[in-house]
Amino acid sequence: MTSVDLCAQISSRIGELFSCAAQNGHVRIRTPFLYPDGDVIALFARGDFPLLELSDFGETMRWLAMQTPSERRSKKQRQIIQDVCLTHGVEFFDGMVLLRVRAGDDLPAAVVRLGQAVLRIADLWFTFRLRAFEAATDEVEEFLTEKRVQYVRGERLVGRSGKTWTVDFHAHLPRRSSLVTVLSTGSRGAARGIVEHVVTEWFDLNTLAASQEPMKFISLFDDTEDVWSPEDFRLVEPLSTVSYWSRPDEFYAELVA
Amino acid sequence: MDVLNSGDYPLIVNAWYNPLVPSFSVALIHRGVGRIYGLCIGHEHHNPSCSNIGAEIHKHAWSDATRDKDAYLPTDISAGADNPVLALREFFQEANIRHEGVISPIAPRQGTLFS
Repeated sequence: MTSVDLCAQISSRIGELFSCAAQNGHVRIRTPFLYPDGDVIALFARGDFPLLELSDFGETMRWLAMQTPSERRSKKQRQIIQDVCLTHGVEFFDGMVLLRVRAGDDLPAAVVRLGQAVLRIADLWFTFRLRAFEAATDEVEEFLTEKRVQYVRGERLVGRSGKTWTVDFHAHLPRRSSLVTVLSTGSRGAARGIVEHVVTEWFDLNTLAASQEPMKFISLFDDTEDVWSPEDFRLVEPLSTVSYWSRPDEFYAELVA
Repeated sequence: MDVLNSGDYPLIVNAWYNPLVPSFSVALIHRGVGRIYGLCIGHEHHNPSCSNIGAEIHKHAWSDATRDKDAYLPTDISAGADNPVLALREFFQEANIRHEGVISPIAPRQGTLFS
């Protein structure tokens, strides 16, 4: 099928907002759809009937990779991609979103279906860790869920001063319960301020560590970013157990101890 | 790659080359915000004001109103999408980023995207 034939089929059914051009051995289909930043979504057709393949050539995952410093998808993001593929009947392979169009299939409908799937996957952008501390806390929550740890997230506790503190996790385990605060930032300049906040928090809540059901205080550092200095860890050590998110099994061992 | 700067901002620069299209993109990313500046070759762009760039090369620049959704047609990039090394050098030059290293030619295959 030539690009002219392909375009003729598409425009006759879904209009001239879709345009085609032969390019590098495939047909490039310009769609009216946009990625969240305004970049135009292009799809690509290669092969010919009886087997024509429509694909984004990995451009959606390339676009997503450009929006974040993260190099990996989270489990939640992978689940979203799987769900999108299931809904729209497309395949996710080697970073590409694609589908096969066989003789007799509705080619224009397949183009729209793939375009919608690409759009939905691009919206993973909204789940990205644009604020590092939220994403790290989300990852910790996923971990606690996988380990079947009972927990309450974002519990508000009143300290000795009367100030109310929001602790990231109150984890309830058979031997003892723990209060966990996640320290996460992408900025070295912000790191010390966060540590000092946590020191004050643990100091103000320290009656909970001395009660008849004593709580363990855990300061969980998101050390996947190289922003912390040795002094930061020493500041919280007298008041809490220091754990590192790069070593989740050690963190879990502290919870169950 | 980390971008060292006097303000100690958490900046990195990432680049991608897709030979299938072909397309090339490079982005200056603030770890707490996302992309704040970037070059795209091989893609068209539609601005929030509904003006199209009209070419397959554009640069994204940050504004508080539209974040990185506004793009313009750059006049300082001569490289095409099939010359990512030159495109990267030209981007660094315009963005006043000094690269202290070697930009090697693109290897045939470099792993999967954002796996």
